[in-house]
Amino acid sequence: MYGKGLRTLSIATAVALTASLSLVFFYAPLEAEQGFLQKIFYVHVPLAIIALCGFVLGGLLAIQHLRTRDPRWDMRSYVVIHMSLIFAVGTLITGSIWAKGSWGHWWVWSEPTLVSFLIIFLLYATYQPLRFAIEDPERQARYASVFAITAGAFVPMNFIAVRLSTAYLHPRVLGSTSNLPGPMALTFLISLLALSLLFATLCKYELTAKHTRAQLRALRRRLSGETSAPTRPRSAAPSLHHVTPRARAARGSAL
Amino acid sequence: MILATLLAETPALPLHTAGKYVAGAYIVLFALVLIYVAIMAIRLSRIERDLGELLSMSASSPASSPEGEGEHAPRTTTAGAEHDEHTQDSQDPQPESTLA
Amino acid sequence: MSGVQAPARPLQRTRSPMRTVGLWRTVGALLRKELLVELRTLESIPGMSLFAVTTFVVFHFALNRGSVEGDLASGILWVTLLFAAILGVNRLFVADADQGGFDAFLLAPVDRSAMFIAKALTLLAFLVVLELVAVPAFALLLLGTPLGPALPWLLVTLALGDLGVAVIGTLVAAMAVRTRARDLLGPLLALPLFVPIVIGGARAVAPLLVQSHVPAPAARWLLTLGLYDLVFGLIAYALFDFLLED
Repeated sequence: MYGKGLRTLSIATAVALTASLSLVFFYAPLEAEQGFLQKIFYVHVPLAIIALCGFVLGGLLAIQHLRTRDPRWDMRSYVVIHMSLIFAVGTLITGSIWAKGSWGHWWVWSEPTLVSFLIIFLLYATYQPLRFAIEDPERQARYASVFAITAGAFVPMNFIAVRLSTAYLHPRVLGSTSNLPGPMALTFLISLLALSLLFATLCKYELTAKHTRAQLRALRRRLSGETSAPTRPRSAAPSLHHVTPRARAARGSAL
Repeated sequence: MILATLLAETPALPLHTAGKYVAGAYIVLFALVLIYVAIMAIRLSRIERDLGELLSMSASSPASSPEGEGEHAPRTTTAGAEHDEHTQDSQDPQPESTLA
Repeated sequence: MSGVQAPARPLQRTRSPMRTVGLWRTVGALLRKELLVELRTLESIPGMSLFAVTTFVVFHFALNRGSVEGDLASGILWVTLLFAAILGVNRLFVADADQGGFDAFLLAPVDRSAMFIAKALTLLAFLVVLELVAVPAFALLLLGTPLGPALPWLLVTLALGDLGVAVIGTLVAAMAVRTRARDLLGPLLALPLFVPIVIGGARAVAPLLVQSHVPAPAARWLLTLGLYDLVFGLIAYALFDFLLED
């Protein structure tokens, strides 16, 4: 059951997001240098952190898939990477807006976070085409997992390399996240928590939706009397071998 | 009140310019979430339509499957099929009955 | 003798009749095969080398310069080498995929990691030959500063970069070769993964290609390259087997 706990999670997300927005606009003090523009920090940086953790998490889930060969791990890895990619796009857009406000350019090469995210975005944008180019579902899942692990290891490596390359150019445009004064730190943490909950809720939502559709397909096949697996059209999404744990045990003993 | 005094000391960008950028950034976040909600709504309506068809299928042909009709989650299947929202959905005939 | 006697030794467990061939023997055999095939067919190396030289000519016209140095020279060299390497990456597994080489390898009683090592070494060899052609060509056509003093550290940096290109290129080649859009996916997957190599390599080489006294490259770039090679070498080695099963 993927949907269990979805309601609680959604409510928690809504509460946290409201709290975070209230804190950002009514509690956090104005920063000395950038003034009101700095408030973007509370949405841009959490998006960045969560996207990066999401990509690494996608790699870890892929490791589990390769170890257990259970397609549900591949499903989780796929959803997490998909969601992280969306959060990465959000990071790029909000970062670009911040750069435009601070420096007048929509893109700056001197901000290592933005540059790293561009590279990572370009890398993970190939995830879906890679999956789509492999028709056999088992092989698709396996190759996607290899990619997810490689890319997940690449994320920190890329950050180190890009940060090194920009360190000696200009000072950081968008300010660092260390030594935040108290109220700002609290606001930042609450925002981070809220967006993490949002990420988790959306992923769970997606997993539940996919699972529901898989159940519907299986039900449809049962009712129309087919017994063989139907031919699916080509798709980049992982296929759920829909077997409940009880049934799998039964199958195992029967075979 | 506190906000007003704080804003009065804003250096750097004037508020009406900075405000637009901040608003833009938060709107981006909001828009992403709303787009996702819309995608989910489309999926939900598709699920509802499928369920309606299955209900009518199970009502019209009770002997179609060996174990009889079942609306519960199926217990044993060979492989689940899964459609991404990007793939073509099969062209289904008009749904006959909709769930109330 | 009367009665049934117990056998003098306990029955041995039945083993498969063939012992698994050692890793390095397999690697040696595969490597020899790859190099022989390349020598006979000359598919990759001439193409890569020619591509590099032609690209230098294109750069001359694109930048409208007779000579380059410093950052620009370093960048042109690395970009050209990288794109020529991608040509080699694209072709690396094509013969195996099309003519059943994978199946033959899987049936043999050998350590499967041998294929990764052999292919990576093959790609490394191709890159070395490529650079033997491309670097003198670059010095001749575009480089405004003398190559001699820069050469030792340039070779060190190129060696580190080549290792990284070899391991990631082999992994990506194996991923892309059995998909539908293999020529497109290979470069798309490889280029973002190569960015740290470009960063480390170009930053390291740039100060070598200037008129003034040539110092050694900054250690941090060489360390970056080394770390990249180590991390992705291990990862690619661990993951390669999963791509082979079928």
